[in-house]
Amino acid sequence: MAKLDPLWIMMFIIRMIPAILFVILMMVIFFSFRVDVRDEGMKRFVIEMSDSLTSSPNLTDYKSIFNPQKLTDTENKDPNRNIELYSTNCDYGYYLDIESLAGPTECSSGSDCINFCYSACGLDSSTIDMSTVGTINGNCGCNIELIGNNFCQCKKTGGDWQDGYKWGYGYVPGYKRMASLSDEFPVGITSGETALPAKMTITATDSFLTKISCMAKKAFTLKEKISIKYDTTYVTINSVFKRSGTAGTHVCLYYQGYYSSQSEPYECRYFPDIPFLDFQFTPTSSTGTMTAYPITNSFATCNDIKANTDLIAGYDDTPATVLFCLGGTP
Amino acid sequence: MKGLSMPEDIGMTLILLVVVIMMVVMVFFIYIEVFLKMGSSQSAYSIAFVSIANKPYLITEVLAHTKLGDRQVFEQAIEIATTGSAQNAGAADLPENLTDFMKVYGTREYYISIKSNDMEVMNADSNEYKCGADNEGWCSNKCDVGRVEINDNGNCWFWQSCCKEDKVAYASTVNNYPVVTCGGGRGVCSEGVKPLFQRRTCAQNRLDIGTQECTGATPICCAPKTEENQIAVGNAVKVSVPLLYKLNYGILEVSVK
Repeated sequence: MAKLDPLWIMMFIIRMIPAILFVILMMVIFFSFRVDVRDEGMKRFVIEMSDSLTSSPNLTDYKSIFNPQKLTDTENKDPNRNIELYSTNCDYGYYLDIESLAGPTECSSGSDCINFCYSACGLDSSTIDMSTVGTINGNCGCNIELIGNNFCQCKKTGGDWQDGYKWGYGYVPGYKRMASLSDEFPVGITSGETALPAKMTITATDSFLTKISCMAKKAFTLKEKISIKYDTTYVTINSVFKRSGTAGTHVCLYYQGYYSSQSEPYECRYFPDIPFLDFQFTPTSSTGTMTAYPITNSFATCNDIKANTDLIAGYDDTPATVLFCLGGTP
Repeated sequence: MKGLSMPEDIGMTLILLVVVIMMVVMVFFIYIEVFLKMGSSQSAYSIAFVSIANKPYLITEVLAHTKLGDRQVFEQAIEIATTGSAQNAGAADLPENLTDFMKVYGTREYYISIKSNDMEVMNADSNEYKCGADNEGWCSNKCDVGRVEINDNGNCWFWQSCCKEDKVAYASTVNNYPVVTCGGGRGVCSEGVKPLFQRRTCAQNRLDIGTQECTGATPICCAPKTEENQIAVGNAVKVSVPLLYKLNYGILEVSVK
């Protein structure tokens, strides 16, 4: 048996240590270097949406100058004000707030507030109620202040008293949101010959409902199967995704009880015109993949399309509806 | 097993040890330079998309339909551009009205100007952080190279000085650095301020032009916080609206940070 030389072993160790240290150093440098790529898609969406809304003739008189009557009409198109009109984005839902920065309208009596109540709350001669002094009852009046100036107040149908020009409508998430971003923009509100300064706030939201509804739209219009990765953190298991609303204009998520007794959805989004089959979300794991298939029949199951892939609409087909399945097959 | 003689083995090992020690020292200094002096954010490679700035345009669009005083803003602007002054156009209150209007939006830094044949005939300035009898200075924690201290006229905090950009006056002061212009003539190579464990920055209310042409004791290129410089470094956006009346040509410019 060969005898090991201690000096040789020591020098071997001394030479190996730098080599090992060098490898460790390289690893540290490699892992400490971080590439940070942010496309800021949601931020850009909010800015693009602001440009689109401030240019919409359905909401404005001139670019960036909103018309009170058009805003009131838009709000009234849905009793819950859950509506995304004139400009939409499939990937994100948005809520629009427009609020005057001009401060309250001063008054000495209720008759001074008629124009304000018409512009701010959409109350005309047939709907205005100034039957009581002050603003305890009715929907329009002059709020008498002991200290300071009196100011006009009005109340929209189903709303609270407001002393300024304020409108708001859009998608509001009912469950956990995946991401959300809000930004403010300087705009104006038409008021006679001038424009009142106002701020427009757009709040964009990414949620399970926006994702699944967008999948349906993409699958139907692009005639392609669309897959996403789901995470049960952001959706209640056994939720049912189904169309609802007065004219079928909204898509909603219901609790499991939808098929038994409960009928109230816990989250809805304005999303008209895209047909899809009701989908009960029953995943077997907390994360996974779900897919939307455009299909040529008005009804099919996930097993049907596994057995016969011809049911999936192709480029030359006309899709009849969209079918959701858990997993990524076929 | 022993291919080389022992003295040669020991010599080579010692040389290796010296090299390793030098490498360790170099790594140590690189660490100090990169992570402590420049900040850890420098170790990340960041890709940022060009941000979209539409707010100045929105404000200008609102101004186009707003009545300030007795007439529309655009009507007053065209008359000012045509007659050559706010007084001649009967719009002497317009700068003040514009300032009140911008305050409502919470816009802290803006500059609105009306030009007639490329000559400025009226402006409304936010004057944010400005000081001095004619708002010719900026409140700052340090005047630095190229600036001299003037009376703040009561506009600065007790720990700030009112600094006016004046290269000639600065050059005549004692204990100064040489005035070296940088950033295409916009800035001056300055000492800046260097908080502990943070990057060196320009003194308050001065703009870091971002060029690498300054060295030594004045390593950072700092420029006055004017409207032009703010636009040049991408901090502000300027919107220009032509004002046309017969053969007169004017322009309304709105710059907002």
